[in-house]
Amino acid sequence: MNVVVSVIVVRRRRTIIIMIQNYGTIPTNQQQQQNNNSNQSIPTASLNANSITNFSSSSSAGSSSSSSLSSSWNSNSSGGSIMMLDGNINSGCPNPLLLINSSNNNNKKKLDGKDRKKKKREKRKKQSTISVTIDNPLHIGIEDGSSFSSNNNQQLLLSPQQESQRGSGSNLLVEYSPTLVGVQVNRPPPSPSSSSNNNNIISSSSLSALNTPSPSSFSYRGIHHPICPCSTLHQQQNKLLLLQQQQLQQIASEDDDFEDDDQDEDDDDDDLDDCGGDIDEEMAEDEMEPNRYSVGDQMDIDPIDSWYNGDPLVSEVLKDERETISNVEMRSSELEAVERTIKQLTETKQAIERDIRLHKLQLRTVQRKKNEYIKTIANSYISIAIRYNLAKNESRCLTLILPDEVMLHIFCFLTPMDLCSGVCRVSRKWRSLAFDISLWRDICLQRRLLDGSSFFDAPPPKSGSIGSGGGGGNSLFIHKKSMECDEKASSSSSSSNSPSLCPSPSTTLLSSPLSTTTSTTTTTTTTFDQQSPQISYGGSVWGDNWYVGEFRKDSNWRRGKYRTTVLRGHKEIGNKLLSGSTDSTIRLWDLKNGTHVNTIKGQSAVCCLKFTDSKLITGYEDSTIKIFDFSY
Amino acid sequence: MSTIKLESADEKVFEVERDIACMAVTIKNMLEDIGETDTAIPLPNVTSNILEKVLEYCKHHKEHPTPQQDEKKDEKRLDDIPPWDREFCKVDQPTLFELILAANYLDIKPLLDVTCKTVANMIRGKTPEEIRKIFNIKNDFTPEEEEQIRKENEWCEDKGN
Repeated sequence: MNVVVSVIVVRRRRTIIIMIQNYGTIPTNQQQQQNNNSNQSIPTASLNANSITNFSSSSSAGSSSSSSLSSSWNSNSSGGSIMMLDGNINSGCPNPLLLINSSNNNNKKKLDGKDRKKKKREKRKKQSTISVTIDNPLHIGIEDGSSFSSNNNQQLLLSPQQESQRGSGSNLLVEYSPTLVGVQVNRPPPSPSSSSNNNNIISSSSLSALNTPSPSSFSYRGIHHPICPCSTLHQQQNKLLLLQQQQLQQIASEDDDFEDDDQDEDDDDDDLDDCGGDIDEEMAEDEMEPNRYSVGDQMDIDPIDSWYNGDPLVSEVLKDERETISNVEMRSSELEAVERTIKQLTETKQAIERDIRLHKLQLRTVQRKKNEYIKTIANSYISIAIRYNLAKNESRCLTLILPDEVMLHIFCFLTPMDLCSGVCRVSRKWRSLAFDISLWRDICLQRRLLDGSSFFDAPPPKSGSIGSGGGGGNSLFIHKKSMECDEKASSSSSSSNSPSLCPSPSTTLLSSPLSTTTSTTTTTTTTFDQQSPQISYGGSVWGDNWYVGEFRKDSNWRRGKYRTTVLRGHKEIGNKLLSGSTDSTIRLWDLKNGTHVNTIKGQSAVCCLKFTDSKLITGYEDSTIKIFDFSY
Repeated sequence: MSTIKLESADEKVFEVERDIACMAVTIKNMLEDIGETDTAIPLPNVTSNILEKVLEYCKHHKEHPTPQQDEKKDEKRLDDIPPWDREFCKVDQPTLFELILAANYLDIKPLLDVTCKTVANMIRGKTPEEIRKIFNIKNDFTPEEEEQIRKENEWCEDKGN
């Protein structure tokens, strides 16, 4: 089996093609000999037509399958530098390795006494270190080599160390080689002239030439794809395969003066490399140097490069470069994060869209159901309206079909508050039902308003004379010196009447000394506005429903709701107030300062009392009347 | 277990167990009056779908008799509807009102109670306008009347005991 490994690297406009050819997996001595012999005739390295640098190659193959093949190229360049390519090919091994080690001969060069530019030029012209490790060349060999396949690319690896290897111009060649190396495996032994091979080689690797115009572009790559440069190759290979030939020709035809490399710089794919083109050569060199230093510190520092270390300009640029690199890293990691977020959001979006579709489906089902229901219900309404002879405008008023007793049965589950605040205001019919006597009788019975057990001791209803009994159970009476003034006032005032005074809450107030501070010329009365239904509510909403009044009175008492009417205008009527109570006492109050003056004990609950300046007449529950005479 | 036949207004005949049918006091009385009979008892006020529901209710309550609560006459509660009955009453208004009518006609007290409670629950705590909307009732008060009623019932607006 014959293996041809071709490495083509273009540094600026110089195209360097390195071709390694190995014949036979298990070379015989003869073959080795042939190989040795053919060192001169089989070019393992070739260059483009304009190259200043020429390679001559020498290769030596191991004597056995495990032997190593070492090849060396002698550069015939003007600088006379020698590039060593040492390879180990275990061609019989399943995992053979080709190592190309080289040392930079330029290191030994004397560089003193020349300006930087010149040195650089020299460096470029000279060949320097190349270190290439090719893994699994056997695989390369096994692959049918007439065409270039991406699998082969992946198997051609350059270790990161080598990528980051520093050196002068030729190092760049090496650095680029992982992404740019083209491998050509040919089964037939190539002809010594190998001009036809050249084409293949060029076509498979010309992208390397295009993609490696400047060192700074490499440094970018070195940072971002240090671990698998092959994948870069793999990606780029497909894209650029078609353009290779043309591009190579273009390169070959160009001037090799690397001062006018603006065109190449512009063609560069890498965005970072935009400074080299427009600035002068020296600046470009300065840019290149820090790249190399920054890429890998563990490697030996080229004395030529270290020469620039002290240069403030260089260190400045170095610093800038580091910053730029960190910026790039930062931004690219940000980009990754953003891409992740976009991916997540896209997934979420899709999930939401799915959800919306589902819900829309659901909605359609629900709406269909709704329409069915509406249809059914409408039909039932119509059938009911027909059956119960409802008028058209009342066809949907189903309460009309219920007999009154059923409506009352419904209302009996409601509270009196519901009946009074809501139900009675719905319609005329509802109002009359809401104040139905039997309904309210039940309510009053429930609340025990009628059996005498209520704290508000309501008398049993007597037809016609209910109102006067409103305060009958009340045990506290007020007597004023001039009772008739109340009567007078009430006739001129609104709805209050004399019996309404009796259960007035103000009596409780008056029993406390403080409340007596009210002016003696003022009569304070409190009335429950619906206390006497017969009087106040003839023709009212609940008509003659006495039970509603009872309930209302009870409710007002419990809630402490009352209405007060104050009648003013009387002259001073004195300072005395006498009160009688069921506790069998009569108390004398001084209205001037609201103090309790005296208590007269009686034998029974006081029902009524009347007094003049000299006499006090009291009536008791035990059917006795007492006359107190204070003028004796 | 003897069965009897009930004929709905739309002339569908239902054959039910006598015990279940006798939950309706009207039917019970009728059976007592006429004695054993094979002819279907006509129920001209009840349509077949309503009768079906009524019988469903009767059947359920025959099989799951509710524990007899102390019938306190003055206890009118709205929140004591058993869960099954509450589900049973989750029907559209026409059905509900026809159920009430049927229960009233057939004299099935528990069914009448539970349906009336359902309606009462619909009324409870609502404003007059809301009640009108629920039952499609036309407001036939004049604005003056309305104002008067509102005034007369101001005393109960403030919720108290």
